[in-house]
Amino acid sequence: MSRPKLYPQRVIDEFENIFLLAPNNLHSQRLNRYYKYLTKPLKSMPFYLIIPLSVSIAMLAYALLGRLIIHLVTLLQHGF
Amino acid sequence: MDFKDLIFSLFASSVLFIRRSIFLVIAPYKTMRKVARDEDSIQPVLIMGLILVYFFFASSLRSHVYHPIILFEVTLINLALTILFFAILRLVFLSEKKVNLRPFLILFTYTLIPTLIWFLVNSFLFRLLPPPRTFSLLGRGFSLIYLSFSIAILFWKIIITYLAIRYSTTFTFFRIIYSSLLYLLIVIPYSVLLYSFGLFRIPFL
Repeated sequence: MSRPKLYPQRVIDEFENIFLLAPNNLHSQRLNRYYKYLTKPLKSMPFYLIIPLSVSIAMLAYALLGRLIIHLVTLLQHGF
Repeated sequence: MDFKDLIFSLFASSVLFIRRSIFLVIAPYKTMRKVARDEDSIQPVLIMGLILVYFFFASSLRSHVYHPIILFEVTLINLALTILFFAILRLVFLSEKKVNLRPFLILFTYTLIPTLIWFLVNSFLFRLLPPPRTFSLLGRGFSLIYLSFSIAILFWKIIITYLAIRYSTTFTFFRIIYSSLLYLLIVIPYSVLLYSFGLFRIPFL
């Protein structure tokens, strides 16, 4: 006689997914906390963070390097 | 497997591939976790097929020294070497006797999607707004947008590659950083070598 299923297959699959890997351990409570804090926004919809960050970096690079950025873009455009 | 089954599995894999490519933007963590558990070998073939199509498209825009097939073969070798590198690291660090290469293959092929998107957009822009860029207001504005786009794609690529290494090797954060640095130590001279042979200006990695 087969045993009755306690949980639906979807729940079992989700748990298997979650426990596919052991959580990251950075060997320090504080580092683990920072790691979780920093990676949380990257797990879903990372572009909400990536786009403003990329624009800021590009602006900062332009402010620091000036015309060199224009040459860099020309170089990158030839990159394919 | 008869022809009908082949067509159905090809269609199913294509739908799954499109869905996963979209979800790599929305939820990269969950998507890569699903990809890691996948056993479908058609999806990597589809991605590599797209890359081959891209090389033919790029050669129509700009004359390369080498035939697109040769560039594609070099890309295949790059991918195989990357997979082998991380598989060997897993064998060494985790003291395992053998390793299943299928998750490595599927995960690392998916890491080529940001690269493909960047190269594709770059090719279109090359056609639309051919370089050199000027110092006019519009030229500077375009340069800033282009640079922001390139940095954003680079960040996305780093996230996806990190997840690919994490799920294929099961390494923890610091070990991923060390192995990535070791990988870069090999990749940078290798890229210079490819450049000196005129194969790639920016390597398709």
